Amino acid sequence: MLLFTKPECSKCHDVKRLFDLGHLGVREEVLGPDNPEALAELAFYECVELAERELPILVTAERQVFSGVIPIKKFLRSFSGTQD
Amino acid sequence: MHLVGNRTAPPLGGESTDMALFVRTSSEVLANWDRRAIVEALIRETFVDQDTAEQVALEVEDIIRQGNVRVVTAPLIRELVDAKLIERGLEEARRMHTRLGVPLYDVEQMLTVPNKENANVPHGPEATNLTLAESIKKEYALLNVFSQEIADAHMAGDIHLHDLGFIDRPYCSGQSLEYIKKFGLSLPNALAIAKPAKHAEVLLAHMVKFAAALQSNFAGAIGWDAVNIFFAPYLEELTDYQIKQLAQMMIFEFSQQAVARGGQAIFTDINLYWEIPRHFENVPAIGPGGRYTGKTYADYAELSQKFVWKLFDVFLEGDASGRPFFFPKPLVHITEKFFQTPGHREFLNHICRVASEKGNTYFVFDRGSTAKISECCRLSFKLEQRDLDDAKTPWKMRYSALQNVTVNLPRLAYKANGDDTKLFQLIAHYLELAAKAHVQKRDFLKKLLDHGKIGPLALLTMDPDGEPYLRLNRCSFLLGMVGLNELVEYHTGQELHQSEPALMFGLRIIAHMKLMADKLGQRYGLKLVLEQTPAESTAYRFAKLDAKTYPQALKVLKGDLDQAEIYYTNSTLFNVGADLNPILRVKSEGLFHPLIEAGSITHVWLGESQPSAESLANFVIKTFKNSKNDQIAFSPEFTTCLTCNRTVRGLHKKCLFCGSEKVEGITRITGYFTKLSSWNKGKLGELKDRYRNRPYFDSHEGLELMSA
Repeated sequence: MLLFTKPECSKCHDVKRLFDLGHLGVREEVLGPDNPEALAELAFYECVELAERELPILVTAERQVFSGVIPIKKFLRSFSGTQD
Repeated sequence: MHLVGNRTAPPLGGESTDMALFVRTSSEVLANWDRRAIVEALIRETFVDQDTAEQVALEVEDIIRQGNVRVVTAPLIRELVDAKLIERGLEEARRMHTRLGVPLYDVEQMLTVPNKENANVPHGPEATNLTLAESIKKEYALLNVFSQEIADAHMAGDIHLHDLGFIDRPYCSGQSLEYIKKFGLSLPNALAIAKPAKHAEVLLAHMVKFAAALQSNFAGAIGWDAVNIFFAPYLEELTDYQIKQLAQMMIFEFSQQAVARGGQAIFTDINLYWEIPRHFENVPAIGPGGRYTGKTYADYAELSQKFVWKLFDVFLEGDASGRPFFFPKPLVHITEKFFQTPGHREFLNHICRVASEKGNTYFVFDRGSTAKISECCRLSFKLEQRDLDDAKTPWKMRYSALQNVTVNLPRLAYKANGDDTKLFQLIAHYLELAAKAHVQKRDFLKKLLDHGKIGPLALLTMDPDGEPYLRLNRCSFLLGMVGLNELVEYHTGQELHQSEPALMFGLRIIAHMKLMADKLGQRYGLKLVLEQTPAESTAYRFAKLDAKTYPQALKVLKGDLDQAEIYYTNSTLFNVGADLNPILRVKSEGLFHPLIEAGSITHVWLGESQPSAESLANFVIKTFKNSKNDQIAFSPEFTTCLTCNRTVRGLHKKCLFCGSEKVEGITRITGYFTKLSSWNKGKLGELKDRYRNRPYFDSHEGLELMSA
């Protein structure tokens, strides 16, 4: 799973604070002016325009896309519940 | 007498009795020889001092005297003076003194042999005037507008500075009919002024005249926003028949070769909507006489739909030979609201029928809250919030790209030789060079614009609404690319379509370009945006240059080397010959489109296939809903007979009706339809390679595969 964030995004920090991303198998991609790899991944998952409106964005291995704190929290809680 | 250097020379004002020569001057006068003219020119045009100028003039006079030159021309004198400047190491003075021009032999060739750099330029006296003027302006641009570093990068083929022959103009433009509806036609240097039109045909006449005037002030496409919507208030008293006639007039007016610039047709794009876009819904409508009608554009939905339907009726009929119209290009915006508007499915089928039978329709996808004015082959101006605010006063919606500079991506791969870091550094380096080129072009145009209404760009400074027609602070500056596919192929060993890692690498390259464009834009104070360069000739030019200079290029160049029909794949497109499900091509190429703000397109080549309107409509819907692709166009091929005047599907060497060999092939070159006889060799090579999707469009199973 991929979590797209930006350094100045407070909601992104919320998600990172609440979940152990590494344990859940979530790799963070930090979008920024010096990270074309992250932008390329964002484009690959067809989330470029979404990211202009809302962050963070979570993309699952099945290519489901969740954007915004509440949907992401809900999914990750459910996912971590099934992981335990 | 006075001393000049070591020589004792006759006084400058005195006659030189054995120099009784006449000089054929550039002002068409036979003048007596007088070496003072050389001195005056050197002092006026360069920073050479009086003594040096006099010494040079004396030496040139000696050469002419001793050489027994009988026919002395101004160009000859200039060349001799330039040689003397070089001898003295005065390179800069030589550059400033240089004469621009075209060799006699080349002029002879131009007058007799068609120029295929631009397939939209016919061969004739107007076209050769254009070509000759362009050649001088190109030289001027490379010597006097751009720095030597940038000029050399262009000449070497590292970058391409587009439309150098139009250095004194911006690139492309998008505008609104509301401007002429409100202000009429009052153009600089006009022989007559027209008040705002009261009737639809007059509005059309104004539109055509204004477009021709704009064509003289812009290098590229002239785009018009929401044409059917803004015409609607003029259609209230018209019958269906009259509306159809108007549609016919519009299309025939714009499809004829113009008597304007170079004898070309005006490269015209008309943006069309089925629905009334949200940003125009509540805008007060301007109608006959330039007066508000008391309604908003939402009230004209039915009339605007009628007009756009009729336009496509005319496109469907084709011209008198059944050929597709080359211009205007109809760009239909597919939006969320489109699918909520009654009648949209019937309209979609209608425009898809045109796409299948004639190929004209461009499908522009505005997803979410995106709005665009599109034009050229794929250029888009994405409307930002302040632009949408301008929608309340739509005559202000005028957009322009000032210049396009394209980077030769495959060459950077050769230079990087497999090293990722080096490759990304090279991209950054050439993008910065491109940004500097933009600054230089902008500064040059500013000098011309500063002359205001008496200057060479007077039309662009006219300001009946309080703002110059060209809103310089809203202009974009384009960074284009050619050959991403070949860069990836050389660097990774696979083409974009061949593997996910190759595709990801391509995305990284474009992501890097986008981020660099943002950074450079901030650094240089420019709105720098990526565009998929149309590259009608650039893809061929780069390929030719690289074939000579980089042996590695032969591994990845496309086309037929023996026939010299070589090319690089355009911009971020996949290999045109790849056997790909067209839906997959549209989806995969579409991954790049959100990174390319100024516009992208995917071509679906149809060849002879004529899929049903229904199947193309499903294709369009799928593209809108399941991809991020910006724009698609379906391109059939035709052969038209010059003997019996009939047109058939597909490319044939002989007429299928009368057997004549006097036939013309027609299909889309890059972003418009034109005759194959005007295509350059690179494009002909690409045409041979194009995958025509027959398994998908010619059979029920194929259509099922696409729908899967």
